[in-house]
Amino acid sequence: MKHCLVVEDHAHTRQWWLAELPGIFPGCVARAVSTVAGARRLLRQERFSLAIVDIKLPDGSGVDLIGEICRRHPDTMCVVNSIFDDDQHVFAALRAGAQGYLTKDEPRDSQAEQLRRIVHGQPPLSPGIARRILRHFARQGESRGAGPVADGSAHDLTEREVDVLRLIAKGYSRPEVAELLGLSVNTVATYTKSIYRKLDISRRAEAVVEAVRLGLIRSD
Amino acid sequence: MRTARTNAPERWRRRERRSPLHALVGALVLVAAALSVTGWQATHVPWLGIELATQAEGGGVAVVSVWADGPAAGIVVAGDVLSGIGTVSGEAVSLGPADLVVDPDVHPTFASLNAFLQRQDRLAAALAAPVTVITAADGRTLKVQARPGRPLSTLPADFWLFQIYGATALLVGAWVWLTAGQRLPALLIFASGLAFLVSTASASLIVARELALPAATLRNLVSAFHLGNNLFSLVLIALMWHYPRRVGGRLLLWLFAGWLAFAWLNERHQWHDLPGHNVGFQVSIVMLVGIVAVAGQWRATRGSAADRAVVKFLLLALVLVNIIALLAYYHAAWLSGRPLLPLVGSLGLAGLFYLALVIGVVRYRMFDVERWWLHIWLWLAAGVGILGLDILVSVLVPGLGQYTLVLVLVLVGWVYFPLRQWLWEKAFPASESAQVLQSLPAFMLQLVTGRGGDPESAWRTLLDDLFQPLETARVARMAEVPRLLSGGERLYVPGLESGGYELRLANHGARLLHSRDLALARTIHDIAARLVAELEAHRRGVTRERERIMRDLHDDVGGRLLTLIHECRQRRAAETAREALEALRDVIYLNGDGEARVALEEVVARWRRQTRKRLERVGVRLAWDWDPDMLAGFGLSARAVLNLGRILQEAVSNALRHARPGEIRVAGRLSGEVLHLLVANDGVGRTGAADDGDAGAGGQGMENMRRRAAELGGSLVVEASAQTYRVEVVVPLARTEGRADETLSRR
Repeated sequence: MKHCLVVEDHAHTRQWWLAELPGIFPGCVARAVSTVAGARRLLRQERFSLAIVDIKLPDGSGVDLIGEICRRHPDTMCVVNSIFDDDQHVFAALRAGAQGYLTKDEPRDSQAEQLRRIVHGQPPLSPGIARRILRHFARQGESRGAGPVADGSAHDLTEREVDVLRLIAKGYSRPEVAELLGLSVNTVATYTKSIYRKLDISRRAEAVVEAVRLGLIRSD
Repeated sequence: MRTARTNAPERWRRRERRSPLHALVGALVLVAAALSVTGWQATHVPWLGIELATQAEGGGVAVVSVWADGPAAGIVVAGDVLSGIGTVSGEAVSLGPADLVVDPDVHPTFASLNAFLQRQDRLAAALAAPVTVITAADGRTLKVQARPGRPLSTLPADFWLFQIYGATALLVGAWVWLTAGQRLPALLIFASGLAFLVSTASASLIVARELALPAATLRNLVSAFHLGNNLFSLVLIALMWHYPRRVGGRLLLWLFAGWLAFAWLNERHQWHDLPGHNVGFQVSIVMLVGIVAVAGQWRATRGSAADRAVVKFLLLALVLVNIIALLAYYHAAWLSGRPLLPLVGSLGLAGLFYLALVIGVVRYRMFDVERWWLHIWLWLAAGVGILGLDILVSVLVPGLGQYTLVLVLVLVGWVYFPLRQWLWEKAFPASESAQVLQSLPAFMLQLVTGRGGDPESAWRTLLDDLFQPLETARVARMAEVPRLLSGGERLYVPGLESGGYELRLANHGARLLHSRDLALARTIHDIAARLVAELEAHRRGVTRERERIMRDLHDDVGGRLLTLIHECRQRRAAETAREALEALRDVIYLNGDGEARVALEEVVARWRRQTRKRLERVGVRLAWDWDPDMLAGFGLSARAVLNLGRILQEAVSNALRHARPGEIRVAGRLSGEVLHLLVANDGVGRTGAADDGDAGAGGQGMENMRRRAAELGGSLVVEASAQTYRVEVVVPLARTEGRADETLSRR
């Protein structure tokens, strides 16, 4: 992580990230802006390996910004940082391409720890998000004509991944899930990562379908 | 052959409607004509002015009364016993009880009938002579000059009763026919009324005779009476052949008609005696065919309560009553030689059908006739009734003069109107408008305040209150407006949000649903739908407002709390700030959204994560004791999510403060539709941990917990000792009925 971008309008938080990031990722250079416009300007000038983006920004939505970054700078990893942990916004950000999320009221050291985990491919998964992911894949299976799928069993997720999502949706912690399924905590983390990846794949697949529809890509 | 079994009221759909009032007046004219003809006929026969009765012992007949202004006044007195009647020149005909038999129908064979008619003829000839010679049993010979006619007022009561029967039958028949349009069943009802009028008119002349009529006249009257009876039987059997369902083929009906024609001609020409009893045998055949028709209807209407109700009505009002009347008259005459009922009684029973028909039309929605037709009928009856009563009173009580009308009005006021009111209430038990006025405000209040259940159940309660159906079923949405189904057996009403309801039979199954009910359902559904739309608009406004507040809170309060959480050196204060932020979130997400329901499963999952994270921060284990599978199907209102979440948080805070524990147990249990939530610490660890600052905060917190539990209609028990702290909350829940719950999922 050489270059980090922080898009955050809350001054204290911005300062904290600037101060903290070099500690989390040794040798990293952090830049911070408080608006979407500022972020766009910086993105045109520099390449970033990590972007930490707040959802509510004074001049726009962080979700839109994340979508933009993922399209134009696929190498930049996006992480949501929001004070409001509502699934709706967080899930929208994940669908836009974010690879993890942090809630601002978590203790700072735990936020730093979580960021480290996200970057290392162990994204967080809350019950509400797990529920939304299950629903998303179930709907996708349905729209592809697989028939009504009540529990998300007939979609792109593997049976194990569905098990993990279901338990997390019920409020179990990752170690608890590992114990219940007879897996190691690491394996569960791997499943979470693959679930995120499939979410990304499904997003890209949709993007391709959309592009074909718009005539941007030839379908043959 | 499904098409042949379509609903009868639908099949006989009204095609056209002519001006009913004119036609009804036409029927009245017909009735008046029949009355005039029979009245003229009855009063233009030779008259002695005596009333006779069977003498108990010995031969002859007894004089019961003598009309004071009649020709026999002063010559014959009440109590005289007469043994014969003759002319000055001719031989006297001896009088016996057999001559007083009113109805020739009681004679079983043509031979006995002819003997009776012959005696009647001779008696009539004696009465028609210029001077009638009456022989008394004590040997006196009395000479009376019979008058060529009699006053209307001397006609017996039976004569008038028959007129009333006939008029009622014709008017009801006409009413049904005119209001129900050109439909075969209604036409048959009308035809039966006409036939009945023929019967009653001839019967009235038969019973009105003082002593005898010439044989030819009497034979013609009997023939006319039988013609009316046979036609009446034929059309009503034809009705039951077609209504409510079609049973059997036309051939059987034609066979029956052929038989009736044959029987009538056989009577007329006296070809051959029928087995047993001439008229009794014919009547038996009619009864048999009627029973077959009703049995066919019974079979054909399986599975359709609406049509079955009509069959039950016909069975009761037509078949059973007629069978009783016929058995009591003809079969009694057949077996014992004497009817159990006088003719006027048995025909009256048969005529009851027309009175019952009015009720049938109104209550069983027969022929699809609207109930306002009953208004017309009653209105007409009132007018004609007052007129008739006026004439009757002035005839019966001639000296009353100008007070006649007063007496009539008194009678109308005290008899007719209460009777009419009573009838009306019997026909339409509950006044719907009064019901609506009672139920609607409560329903609207419930919709607006959200108290006493969700709008959908309030709607259902309202429908149940208004129509009092036998049963109400939740069905899929089939239309956006209420509809009558199965010919009024069921009423479909759309739900307020989704689906619909089917109400089966109104007034606890006592009546079918009318188009009036449909109109009522449409009106209240319209009102309710508008109200819901209005509330929805209001709610959208609230949502917008909430979003605005949320933005403000996010930008302002949220940021400050965040600073406090991260910058504050004191751990306790940071924790409080974090709690405040959580509370802020809940308030923003849930407040004002009183209608949304969150799945309990989802809420519990969130609580679990929240509590776990919180305890992780302070190094305390969480024992989470819930059975997630039990939670399915329950939902919490926003208020409940908020209050229970706060109680849980407060209880955990208190448990943490009370005696720094190693483990905190949070257990949830559902018994029926009641949620038990338990928070307890394990009671080990540092004792006396509660420092001074916490006592006050704890007391306030406890009060808040209690208030929040009470708001949900629940209760809260706290047990605290030096070591242990335990809170148990009991709160009633509501089932979500499988509704989607994605509105408020978070985290």
